Amino acid sequence: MTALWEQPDFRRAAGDAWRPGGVALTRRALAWCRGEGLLPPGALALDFGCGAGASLRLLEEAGCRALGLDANAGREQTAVPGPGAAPLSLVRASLVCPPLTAARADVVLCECVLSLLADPLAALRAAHRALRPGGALIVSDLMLRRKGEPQPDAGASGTSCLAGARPADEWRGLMEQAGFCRIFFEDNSRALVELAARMVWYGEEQPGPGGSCRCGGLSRLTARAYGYGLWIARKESL
Amino acid sequence: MSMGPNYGPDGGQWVCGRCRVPLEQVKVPVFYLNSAFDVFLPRCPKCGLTQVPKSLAEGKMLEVEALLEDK
Repeated sequence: MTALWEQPDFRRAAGDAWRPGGVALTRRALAWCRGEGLLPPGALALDFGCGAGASLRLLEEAGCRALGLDANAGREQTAVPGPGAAPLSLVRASLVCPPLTAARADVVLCECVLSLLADPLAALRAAHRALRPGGALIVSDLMLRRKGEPQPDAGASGTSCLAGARPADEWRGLMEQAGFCRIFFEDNSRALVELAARMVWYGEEQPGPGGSCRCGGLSRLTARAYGYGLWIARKESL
Repeated sequence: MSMGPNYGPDGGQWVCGRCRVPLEQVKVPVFYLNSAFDVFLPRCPKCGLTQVPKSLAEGKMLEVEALLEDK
């Protein structure tokens, strides 16, 4: 059985960026970082859980040196460059213990991947280690909209992105625990609803198996319980 | 998005009541609350009048509208 994000229907609905908001949300986050002077030409940008590499291409277009890390890197389904496109730089690695030099990266992206991990705090700590002082972390992920309310698909982290969703303040707390500060938050729940609608329209009706992304398979009822957030945080400058 | 779901007439052979020509199955963009979706629907080749089959209106279209309306 293949994960939802590997299925043709999901890719038709979501495009190359297998998450709510797609590349438009990534572009906006990168523009914010550029405005803050965090993405100078030649900046080193890491994409944790890079999937098909849509964000890596954006980073390279922005003049960054981009490196993607993904547990599935190198598999046929991941990061296939388009016709005429240059190969992407990928490393197959665990996101909780990536083989990275400390304090070198300018930006780390974690787009719709933390909720899939059994230990997202470990991945945030790894991102913090990899960033230079003053570097930026960009996180976008599923969040629970109403704290304390039983969720239709809640479960153990690491079994699916819905199961790994947390309230916005919990995500913020994890980032703070990992050492991040100056945390900016933006609610992008509309993007999640739009992806769910596209999945309904373009025919995806099979829920993903455990350990896979399921956010595009939200039904009308469950879509109310979840939202989608964007966080941009900084590693304290020296 | 190059492909979309294909919805033929719910039954029978349909002609446009105004132009008297058979409807043709063509790709049509559908817009709702700032979101765009492609679908193949029966459409008059002369005047462009498009038929939305009941199965689509009461099925996917209803479900997608409910999701996008966020009620």
